Order: sequence, then C-alpha cells, then structure tokens
Amino acid sequence: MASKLAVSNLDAWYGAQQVLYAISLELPDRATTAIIGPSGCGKSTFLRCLNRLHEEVPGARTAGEIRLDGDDLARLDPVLVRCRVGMVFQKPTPFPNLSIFENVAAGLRLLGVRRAEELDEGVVDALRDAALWEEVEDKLDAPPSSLSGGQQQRLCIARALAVRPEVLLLDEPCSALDPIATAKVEALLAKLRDEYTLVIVTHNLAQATRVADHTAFFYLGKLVEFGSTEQVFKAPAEKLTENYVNGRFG
Amino acid sequence: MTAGGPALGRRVARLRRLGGAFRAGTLAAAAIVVALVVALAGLLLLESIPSIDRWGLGFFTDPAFSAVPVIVGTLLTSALALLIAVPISLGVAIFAAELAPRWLRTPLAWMVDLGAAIPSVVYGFWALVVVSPWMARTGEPALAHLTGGTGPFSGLPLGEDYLTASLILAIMIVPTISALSREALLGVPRAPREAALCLGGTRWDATRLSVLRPAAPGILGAIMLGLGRAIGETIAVALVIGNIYQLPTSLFSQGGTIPSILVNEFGGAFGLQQSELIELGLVLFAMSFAINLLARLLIRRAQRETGRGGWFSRRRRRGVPAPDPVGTNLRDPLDRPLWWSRVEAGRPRAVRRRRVVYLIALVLVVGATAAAVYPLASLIGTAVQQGGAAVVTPSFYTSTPPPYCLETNASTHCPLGGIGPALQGTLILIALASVVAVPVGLLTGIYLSEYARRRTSQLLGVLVDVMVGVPSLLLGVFVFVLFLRVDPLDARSALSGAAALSLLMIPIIARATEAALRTVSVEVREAALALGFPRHRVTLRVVLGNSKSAILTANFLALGRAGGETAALVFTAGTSSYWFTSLRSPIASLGPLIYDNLTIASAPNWTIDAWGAALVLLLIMAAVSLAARLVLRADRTPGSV
Amino acid sequence: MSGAPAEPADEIDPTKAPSSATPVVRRKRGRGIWVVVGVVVIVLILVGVGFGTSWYGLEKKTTASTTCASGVTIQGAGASFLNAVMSVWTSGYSTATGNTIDYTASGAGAGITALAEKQVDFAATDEPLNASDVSAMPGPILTLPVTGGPVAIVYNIPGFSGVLNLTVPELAGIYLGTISNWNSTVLAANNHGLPSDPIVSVHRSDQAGTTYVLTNLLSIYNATWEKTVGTTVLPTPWPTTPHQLAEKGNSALGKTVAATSYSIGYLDLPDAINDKLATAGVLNTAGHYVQPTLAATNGAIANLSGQPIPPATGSWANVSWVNSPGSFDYPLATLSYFVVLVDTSLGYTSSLQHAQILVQWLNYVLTTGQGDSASVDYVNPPANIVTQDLNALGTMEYQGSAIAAC
Repeated sequence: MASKLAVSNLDAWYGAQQVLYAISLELPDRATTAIIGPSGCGKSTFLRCLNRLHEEVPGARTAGEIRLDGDDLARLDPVLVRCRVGMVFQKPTPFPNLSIFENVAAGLRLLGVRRAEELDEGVVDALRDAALWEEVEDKLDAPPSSLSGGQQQRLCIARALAVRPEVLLLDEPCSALDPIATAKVEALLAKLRDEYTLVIVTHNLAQATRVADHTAFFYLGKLVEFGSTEQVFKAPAEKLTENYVNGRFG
Repeated sequence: MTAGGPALGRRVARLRRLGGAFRAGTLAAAAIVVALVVALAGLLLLESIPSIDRWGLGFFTDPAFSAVPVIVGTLLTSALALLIAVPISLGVAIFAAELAPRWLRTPLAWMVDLGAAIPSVVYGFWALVVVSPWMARTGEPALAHLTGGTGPFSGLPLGEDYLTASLILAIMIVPTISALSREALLGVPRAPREAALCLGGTRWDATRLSVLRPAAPGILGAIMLGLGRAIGETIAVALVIGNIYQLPTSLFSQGGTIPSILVNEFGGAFGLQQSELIELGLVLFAMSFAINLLARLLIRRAQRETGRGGWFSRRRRRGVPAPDPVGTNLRDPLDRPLWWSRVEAGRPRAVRRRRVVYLIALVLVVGATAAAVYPLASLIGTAVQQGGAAVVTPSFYTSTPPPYCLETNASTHCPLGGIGPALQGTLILIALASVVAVPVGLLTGIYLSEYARRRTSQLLGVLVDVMVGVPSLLLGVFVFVLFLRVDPLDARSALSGAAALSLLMIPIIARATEAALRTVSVEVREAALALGFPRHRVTLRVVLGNSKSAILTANFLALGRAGGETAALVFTAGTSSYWFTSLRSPIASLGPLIYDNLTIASAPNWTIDAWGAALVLLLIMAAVSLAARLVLRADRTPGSV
Repeated sequence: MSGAPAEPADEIDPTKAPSSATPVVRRKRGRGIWVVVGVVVIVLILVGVGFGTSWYGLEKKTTASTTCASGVTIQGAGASFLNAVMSVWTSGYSTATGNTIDYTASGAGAGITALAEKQVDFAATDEPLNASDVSAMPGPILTLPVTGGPVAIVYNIPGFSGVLNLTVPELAGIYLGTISNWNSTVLAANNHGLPSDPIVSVHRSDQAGTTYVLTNLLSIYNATWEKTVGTTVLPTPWPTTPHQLAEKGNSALGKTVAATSYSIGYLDLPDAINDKLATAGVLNTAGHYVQPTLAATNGAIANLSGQPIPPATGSWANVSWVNSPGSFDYPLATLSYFVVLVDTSLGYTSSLQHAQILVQWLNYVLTTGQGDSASVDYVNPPANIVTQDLNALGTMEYQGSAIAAC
C-alpha cells in the first residue's frame, strides 16, 4: 500500500524540552492508523506535527522530514498543508456563533467557494459523510449549541470533511463523549475507513482494535512499534508493547 | 475536641448574629449607593425647578437660550469621537489580543492601560498646547485643501472647534475601549481558534471565525462605556472647543458641550442662571443614564443571542438544499461534485488570497495601533520635555506656588516655586475619600455578588453602572449644591472635595469588587460551605481571599483616578496656594492646579509648574497601572496576558 | 444560612474556621501585606496631615484680641484682572503679618456669586455690583475701589509690522462682525499694510469683569451693541460673527490670541506683557491713539475722578472709568473693587478673630499695598476714594458690633 505520509527522523521540542525522538513512520494511504501509548508520550504532539499545528505554539520547533505524497511538508505553505491535512480535536469545537450550515461551510468559504448551490452541495455531502445529515437537515440555521456532544463532534468531523482533506487526523475524538455517541462516531470512522487516510490518537485500546488497520505504539516520545493492528495486539515484537497492550501499565 | 451542647449552641448563635450583622452591613452599603443615585437625580431635578418654571419646553426651543446648541454639541462631539475611536480601538484590541508577536503584547497592554489612566486635565493640557495649534496650522488646512473646503470642511480652521474636540475625545476613549475589548477577546475560549487554523485558515481567519463574534457583547459594552465617558468629558473639551454656543455648520465650527458650558459658567451663576445650568446638568445626567441603560440591555441581549447562534450570522438561506438520492447532480468518477476539481486545483491560489487578506488585516491593525500609540507618545514626550526639569528638582515637591511674575526682560527669571500644597492636598483628599469609599464600595460589591437575589442584583448592578457613568462634573455640582443648601460655609472645602471624590470612587470599587468576586467559582464556595463555614466566613475568608489581588488593584486604580480628578473638584475643593490648614477651608490639589494655571495664570513659571504637576500625575498613574498589571498577572493562568 | 449541626463535631468544629488554609483554596503568601501596607499608608497620611495643623478651624472666638493673630487664612475670589497686583499684595501681607490670603481668580462674576453664597470673605471685581447682585447678598455690602489698570486690546497679525490703531466704533464693528476682514476700508483709514485675512475675535467664556469694561465702552459708541449686548460680564448673548473664540480666564484668552493668527482680544496689561502680545492704540475722545500705559491710565482715572462718587455703602452701578476726556488718556481704563459685607458674620467670616484679620488685610491693601501697585503696572484709585475706603473699614461689624482693631 502506498504511503500517504512519510515521516523520517522527526524530533520535536517545546522550548528546551524535547518531546519526540527520531520518529520514522510511514502512514499508509486509505487506511486507518491508530496511535496508542500512555499519557504524555508525545502522541498528540506527533499528530500536530503532521499538519504543522505544532509550530503555532511559541517556542515550539521540529527537525526531520515529513512528506505528504512525496511533497516535503516543511516547504509547503502551512495554511495549504492544513487544507490537505484536516484535524478533529478531543473536545467538540464548533464555531459557536455560526449556524450548523455555516460551520460546515466555513472551510469551503475559505477555499473561495461562493456560489450557493456549490456550498449547499458541499455541506450536504459533508454532513452525509459524517452520518449527521438526517439529524440536522431541518435545523441547518440553528446554533451548534442545540446539538448534543456526540452530534457536535460529528459536526466537527463534517466540517473537516467538507474541504475533502487527503488525511484526517483525530486526536482522541471520542474521549469526551458518552458510549452511545462514541459508537456512532466509531461507525462513522468505519465508514470513512476506505476513502480517507485516518490517523487516530486514542487511549482506548479496544477502540484501536475496532477502528484501525495499523497501529503505532509510542512510549516517552519514541516510536516503539508499528505494524498491522492484528500483529501489534496479538503478536507484538517488543516486550514494552506486549506489556502495554496487555494492560500491565497504562 | 470541642465542647458540645450549650456552649456550641451559644457559639453558633453568636456566629449567626455576626453573619446577620455582616449581611446587614452589606445591605446597608448597597442601600447607601441607591440613596446616593436617587439623591443625585432628585437634587438636580429640585434645583432645576426655577428654570423649568421659567422656560418650560422653551428651554429646548427658544433661540435666545443656549440649551440646544450645547445639547447638540454634546451629542455630536461624542458621536464623532466614537466614529474615530471605534475602528482604531478594535484594531488595537485585535492586534494586542490575537495578532501581535508575544513579546509585544505586554508592553502594548500596559501602554493602553496607561492611556486609560491619564487624567483628563493632562489630556486637555496637551490638547491645548500641542494638538490645537497643530490642527490650526497644519491639520485642518490640509483637510480643507483635500476636500475643497466645502460642506463639513468649510469655514476658517481655527484649531479650536468640533473637529479638534472630537479628536481629543477619540484619543481619550481609545484606551478605554481597547482595554475592555481586549479583555473581551481574551475571554473567548481558544479551542475553536485551532479548529479554524486546521481548516486551512490564516491567523486572521481564525480570529475572524472564532473570536470576534463571541467577543461581540463585551466589545459592544466597551464601546458604550467609551461613549459614556465621551459624553461626560469636561476639561479637555472645554479647552479646545471654542466655547461659542451655536449650531454647527461645519466641523470647523466652534461649539460647546453641556460639561464645557457648566465648567465655564457655573462658578459665577446665581439664582435663575444657576438653576438653568443645573437643568442642563439634569439633561446630561439623563443622557448618561440612558446610554448606560441601553448599554446594559444591548449587552444582555447580545449575550443571549450568542447562545442562540449569533446576531450576525443570520443568513437567510433559500430553503433547505434538497438531497439528491438519485444523483442527477453531476459527479465525477470519485463521486465528488464536478466543481470540486476546480476548487482543488485552485487551492494554492485560494491560500495565497487568504494570505493577502491576512496581510491587509495585519497592516490595518498595526496602523490602528500606531494611530493609538502615537498621541500617547506625543503627550508623554511633551510632558517630559516641558516638566522634566521641574520634576527632578527636589524643592518642586516642597515649595508653594510662586508669586505672579512679570518677565519684562530677559534678565528677570521667575522662580520655579513648587506644587507642595497641591501634592499634600491631593493625598489628603484621596485618603479622606477612601475612608468612606473603600468600605462602602467593598460591601456593596460583596452584597451584589454574594447576597443579593438575581433580580435585585441586576437592578442594583444597573444603578452602580449608572453611577460609574455619571460625569464627574455632575458629582461635583451635586455635592456643592447639597452643601450650599445644608451647610454653605463648607461648600467649598476639603470636606466637600473629599465627598465628591468618594462619590467618584464608590461605584468603581463596588463594580470591580463584584466582578472579582464573581470569578471565584461556585465549587470553591460550595466546598467551603460543605466544610461548615458560616456564610459570612465563606465570603470574607474564602471568596475575598481568593480575589484579594484583583480587589486591591481596583482600589489602587480608583485612588489613582480620584487623584487625577479635576472636574469634580473645581467647585467643591476650590483651590489654594497654601498648605493644608483646615478641613473646612478650600484645599489645593493637582488637577485644579493644572487647570487654573492653564486658564488664569499666564506667567511662564506657572505654566512650567503645571507641566511639572502633569508629569507627576503621569508618573504616578504609570506606576499604579504597571503595579496593577503585575499584580493581576501573577494571578492569571500562564499564557495569557 | 444553614442551621447548626446537632451532632458534635469530631475533628472539625463546624463553628470554627479551619486553622489553616482551606483545602480547596490555595492561599497566596504575602498578599495580606498589601492590605496592611495600604492601611498604614493611609493612616500615616492622615497623621502627617494632622501634625501641627488644626483640623477644624471652627473655634468661634468671640473675645477680641488686642494683637492681631497670625496663621489665619482669608478667602477671596473674583476678577483675574488684578491677579498680578493681588499676588504682590498677598505675599507682602503674608510676610508682614503671618496671615495668608487665598485668592481664586475665577472671574468677577464667580467672585460675586461666591460672596453671595457665603464662600469667601471678600470678592474682587471690575464690575460694580448691580441691583440684582446686591439683593442676592446676605446683607448690605461695601464697595471699595483698591486698584486700577488698563484693558489692553491685543492682536496677532502675522506680517503686519506696524502698530494697530483702532477707533472704538471699529472695535465694536469687529466684535459685532460688521468688520470681518483686516483689510476692510474702515481699518485701512488708520492703518497701512493690513492683510486681507478674516478677523478672529476672541472674548471671555466666563463672567468677566474685563468684558464689562470693554462692553461698557462699546455700548457708549455703538447703538447696536448697546441694544443687543449692552454692558455685561456675561459671555452670552454675544453677537455671532463668522470667526470667533471664547476662553475662560484672561490668561487663556491671551494664550489663544498668541496662538491664533489674525486674532484680536482684550485682557489686562500684565498678561499682555507675559504673553508677549502687541497692544493696539485706541482712539480717545481727544483724537489721539493711546497705548495702554500706566501714565495714560493714571490720567484717565484722574480726569474721571470728578464724577459723582457714591459712598462705600451706596450703589456704584453708574460709576464708569472708560472714555476719559483727557488728551492722552487711555479710553479703556477701569478701577477694580473689593466687595465685603458690612456685617461680616452674615457671610463666610465665621469668627471675630477672622473678621479682625479681614479688616487688617483690607487696611494693608489700602495703605502699604498702594505703594506696590505700580511695580506690576497697576494704578491707584484717587486719594479721596482711598480715604473713603479706609473710613468705610471702620464701619465694618461682626454680629452687629464694631470690630475692634488689632
């Protein structure tokens, strides 16, 4: 399978503190990769390096190379990078003063889409893809605060999908949701699995086994193991991995 | 181990009484504030009756009387000032909160705070000596040249007119509006901002999409506050508006505002004339009341609207987009709309366009910031240049003002003298005012935050806000006239001046206390109550303890404000050239000293003294603002400033 | 507030606050010191202030002293016209007696109002009180001329190197707006080389005695002025001219003229000198253009001293010192008056000792003070008026009885 994102020797710092050490990884195209590991081991930081959000924090920097379809990320305009690599956060973050429709249309407008029919179509497509359309089709002008937590998260996913990114990064997307909403989001992720390249950071090992094709295990800023989900969970190569996936530390 | 039974019961009963007493105390303080506002309105009304009897509605219509021109003048200068100030303030706020590099944010915030703290008499001084001549010689002729000298730019540019007055007002309210708008912007949750960035937006897009609209109620409140300040501004306007009471035909027309005519003529007005001026004051009070009320209502409505999807995004859509199950909308082989490939190909161009927009926005806000900072720099520079020599002379702080001196030739050098009595007088006045204002303000704030029911709290909050917005000149007039009717021999005295200053300080302290207390979370209070703290101990120890810094800061800022005050003291404290002797005599103070030296004294050494006093005031306010910022910063979460 | 728990507490006494910081609230160290500091500072200020001063100057001393007290402050307010000479007098008086005079030059109208509202011991004015002013007073008053001086007409005409010469009708025309440009043919008759720029006329925005003097003269020469404005201290009604400004106080007026090109204004001579303003020659009845000098003013006062002079208790409303007939007299001369209550206790003066010092001050002004006036370009009233004033001092009372001299 072709690799969508090729990471070589990535280091990352917050000021003087190094948080990622020589990460080398190839994220396959049109597949879901889960990133697992205990808290504070750099999973989110890694994710944020993939769409160049990491450098927005003052004092943060990276070294190493990331290639998106062969293009060196560092050479591209970061704004352009983020058009191609979308992100969904842990807590649902819709724009509070924009209606549901406008939330989803926001990205399209940033891309210069003006015509009402095109916006309509793009929004409907995104909401459909996010499995939210039926629930909001009659209240597109309502504020996002009128939606439940799970619906808001799916709205954020729809918003990200509307600009049809090549890669979608998800940072613990279900950790703030109740089990029913989690199930709906996981169903959505399963639906997106074959069309998008997804990278999901998750604390929930079971979720990783449910949604991901591949899994990467991070520990204290280093990539310990990367392979197919089945292999990592059933027959891990590293002892550390085995201890983690068997719950011996968390 | 504690004694149970009767001893416990007695102790509990005593604490109950203490708690009840404390609560009663806060209620009493709040009642005092209400009584003061009612008394203010009532006295103004009572004293206006002779004038109302005489003129009736003709007060507004009779051409022989100057009411309409000054009312128009008040409204027009404030509106113009707002027109100039709002874009600049927003630019500064957005730059300071969102787009400026990190190292610049604190100095910028401090500069804005300083600008808000500079006393109006110092602004007026600078306006008279620097801005007005520049307008007369350069600014206004250039404007007339550009516009062909027609319409609002017709007439002879004299430098003292509506335009200059509005410009000075704008310069004065920009720091106020920016500081509060900046707070509003910083108070918005940051998370959607990153989401906007992740959609492929620039920092400006992130600001636009996720910060500006939620902050809108706060910004609106800030603008209203600025308007309220503009309407009540006295000294600076009176010095540069020309004081000719006529309806304006152009921006270069001379005019007058209600505060300016009051400060010019109230001292000499007696009987019917005095009543007429007080009726004008009543009109001013009504205006400021209405604006404050409107501001409150607008903010509340905006806050409600924010929850419901926003004021500004109610885009009317043409029906619900019909889903297309059969797929007659043209799609490409990847099941994407045909137009998508055009968009995808145009992504780099779209990003470039967003970058250009970002650049333009950046240029605009940087320009606005420069426009806001430059006048402050000019003012401070002038003060340092003119008053610097005096300020570093130790005798300046201990000497009395010099006698009148005629510089008939180059060899006569008038002595510098000093501002000793004025410094002493200011300290005495603010100390006296604090003795009343701090307890009453604190207790009222506590009542508003802790004990009042929601409805009462809202109503009382409106009243306190109204009192904050009352022009300080009216406070002085109120105190003066009250004394005249009750105890005329003390109407012009230190007591009277301190009373006026405490009226100034009480609502500031009350409001800041309430705001500070409200930031203490419910959980903290509940935890303390769950531990068995009696209610008043929760308030005193826990809640107050948590907000000590904020409250202390607010107190110091209120003291600073009172220390630089002029309009409220002009009629009440009077002026004096000598050291303090008695609370019942007029007393020297810094603000009136500067004002007098500008208007009454033409000896050059008196002017230098005035600059020295202005610089002293500036330095004090700078120190107080800086201290306030540092104290508050120690309390805030890191990463925000 | 919740009721007391019935069960006895074990470790935690619900009626006592915890001895240490509450578990949920982290107390910040060192913050309490700020409150203490603040309180201490305030207390220090109050103490330092009380040191050596009397907090309430309220002692009503009803026993007369045979030697004059010192350390008393007399309050006065009024015209800014005599600011300069007042400053000389007050410093001389204070050196001589140890008492101080706090004079606020808030304008003649403000001074009269202050006296009526019992805010000051004496008022100073260039406008003698009219009937309504007198009726507003708490009791009968004494009008005491103490000094005098010229009202200078100042101007700022860039590029004009000569001396401006004006007739009074021209001056009226300028302030009425009928003469609107400097190169008007009317003005050109007496002046060469005036530019074509429009005239900016500046007047006072507060109730000013100096305005009274000017309008007094203008009313004599111009019927329109007499009808529409008359002789007044008030800034309104004032004729609307195309370009005019109004300022509070003589000094502000002077500064404005100095800063505004092609402007004209009126103020006292010391301010004109200090602001380095050129003064115009005004045509007097003898046909000479006279500058505002001491000699010309002295002559004017002397030549008008033959007019009926009312007693100190009488009405001075008809007394006027403008338009003097002498050959080289300055037409815009005036005397300035001190106004006090005959029975000082009816006003601000709240003790007999206070009244004694007031009389001491007035005496000083009318004796030693007269010798100091010329040094700051003021003239003395005619000798007979000064004598009348001194005699009037003897009639002043406190609570109905004469004030013993000290």
